[in-house]
Amino acid sequence: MAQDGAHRADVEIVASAAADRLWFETRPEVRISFPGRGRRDSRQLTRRRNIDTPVEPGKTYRRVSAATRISSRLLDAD
Amino acid sequence: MIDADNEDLEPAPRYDDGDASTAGEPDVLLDVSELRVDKISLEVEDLRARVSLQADVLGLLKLHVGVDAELGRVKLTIKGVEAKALLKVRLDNVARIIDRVLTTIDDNPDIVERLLEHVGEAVEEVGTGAGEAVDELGAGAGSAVEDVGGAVGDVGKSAGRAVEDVGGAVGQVGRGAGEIVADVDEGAGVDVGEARPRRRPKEQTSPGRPRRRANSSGTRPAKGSRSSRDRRTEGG
Repeated sequence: MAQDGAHRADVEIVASAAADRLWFETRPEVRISFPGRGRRDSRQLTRRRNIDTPVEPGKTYRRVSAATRISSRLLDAD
Repeated sequence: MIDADNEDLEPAPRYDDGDASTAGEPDVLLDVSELRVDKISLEVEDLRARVSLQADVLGLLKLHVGVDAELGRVKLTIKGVEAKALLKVRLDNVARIIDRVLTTIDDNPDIVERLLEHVGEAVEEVGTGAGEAVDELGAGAGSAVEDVGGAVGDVGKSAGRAVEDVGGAVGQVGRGAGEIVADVDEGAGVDVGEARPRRRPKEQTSPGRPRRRANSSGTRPAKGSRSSRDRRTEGG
């Protein structure tokens, strides 16, 4: 992953997955939050391949991939 | 918060060729680098991933930065899965911020003196509160001891009554036992009478004495005899 110097995260979660077939019975409930104190630069980046946004329950997706990066960085007070 | 899909992102393992490494190694790393599963049927509720970094410097600086990802509920089936996950924490930025704070303290030591004054006031307040608490504790303990004394007295009285009750019960047991013995004698007399209808009443065993059981013919089997052994066998 390329990371610019402006956002070199203090904390981050990076996850990715690829699959031949994917089938949802229910639509997933995803919540992202950035707890903390002070000025921060927080980001959520997501990329999907061959998956609808939002996903359709009951539909079979093929050759799928998804990747996400959730990060946060404290900003120094000037 | 910025949520943009056009920035570079960690690639999925199979369908992208990007390099997963990041510039600069993290100080804390949880790396699930390769996970392959043929088939997953997954039903989860409240799955949570959290990374948090917290740093405090006296009362001057409180830093907290975190990331929470929560999957409320999902039910899915997935085949031919490859996945990976990373949790990273970097301390250099926080260390730099703390370093700046410490440098500021170095340049302005009176900041710490003012902080210590506040700490002194806080300690005095704690001391006063502790004294009051000890006083209250002492008073509470005293009344508790009094209560215990009263309770011991009550126990003594109850114990006395219990002994009296036990004495009465023993007397009743004695009387009851006597009645049972009398009943046994009467029952035994009836059995013997039925077994030996022709015997005279005066030949029956006198009440209150133990006796042997008679067999159905009214005669006692000889020791070691067949019928005696059979009976023992039947009786188990």
